[in-house]
Amino acid sequence: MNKDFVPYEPSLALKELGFDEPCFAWYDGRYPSSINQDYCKNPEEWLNVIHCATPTFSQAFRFFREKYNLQVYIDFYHKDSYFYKIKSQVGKRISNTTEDVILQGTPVFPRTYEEAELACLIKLIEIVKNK
Amino acid sequence: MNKEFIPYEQALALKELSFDEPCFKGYTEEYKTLIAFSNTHTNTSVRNTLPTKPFTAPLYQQAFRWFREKHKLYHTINMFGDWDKPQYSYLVSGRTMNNPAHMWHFEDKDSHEEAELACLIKLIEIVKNNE
Repeated sequence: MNKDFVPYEPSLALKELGFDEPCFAWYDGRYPSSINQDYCKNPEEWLNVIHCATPTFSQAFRFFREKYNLQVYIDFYHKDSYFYKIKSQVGKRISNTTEDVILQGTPVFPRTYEEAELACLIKLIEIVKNK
Repeated sequence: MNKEFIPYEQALALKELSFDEPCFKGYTEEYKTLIAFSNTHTNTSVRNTLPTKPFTAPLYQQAFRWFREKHKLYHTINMFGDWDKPQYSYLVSGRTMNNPAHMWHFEDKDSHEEAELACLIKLIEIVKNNE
């Protein structure tokens, strides 16, 4: 089930951004390629600075949707490729609707859905860190 | 974390469609509520663990991946409308043995989670109708 979980580096970045939902697994920063499947939640006392809970991709995208109002759209593009878009809100209202802005589209087309998810998640983290 | 798992009826439908991936949790026909497994289980491996006939409860992302990989059915969830009261639609596209053309389905829902569930129900219906 490892492909359901966010890799170590983005998981650590999510912890730094305040992600604190209960998770099914966690990383020991000394062994970042190994997922420990035990319930865990940031910031538990026993988790030191290099350890972190690891969310599923679905949990991570919900965090950005609910906390930062960043909406993600991932779709099949054509044979063996995918793309993503990240939408956010701008304050300007036009006739009872709010203008959307596409913050980031896919610069290259990932070959798998999972690659598109990961590329999208890394971009979301970058957007929030640069706010 | 329970909202990460698909509901009882859809988990049962996926089992009948031969979903057999490892999962963290399951349902029993008797209680119809989520139960945690001590280890991950597939529908094959969990069958004889309890007299209550448990079956697995996939994560939404596991279920969607299974439809992509096994049935070449692709989905997207998209937000539209006013950011103060967003609406979510889903879209399913794919090719099946009995229907080589692309298929598109969409419904409007009030939350991302409602759209995900509606999308999952549609995916199950498509596969059942093409068996």
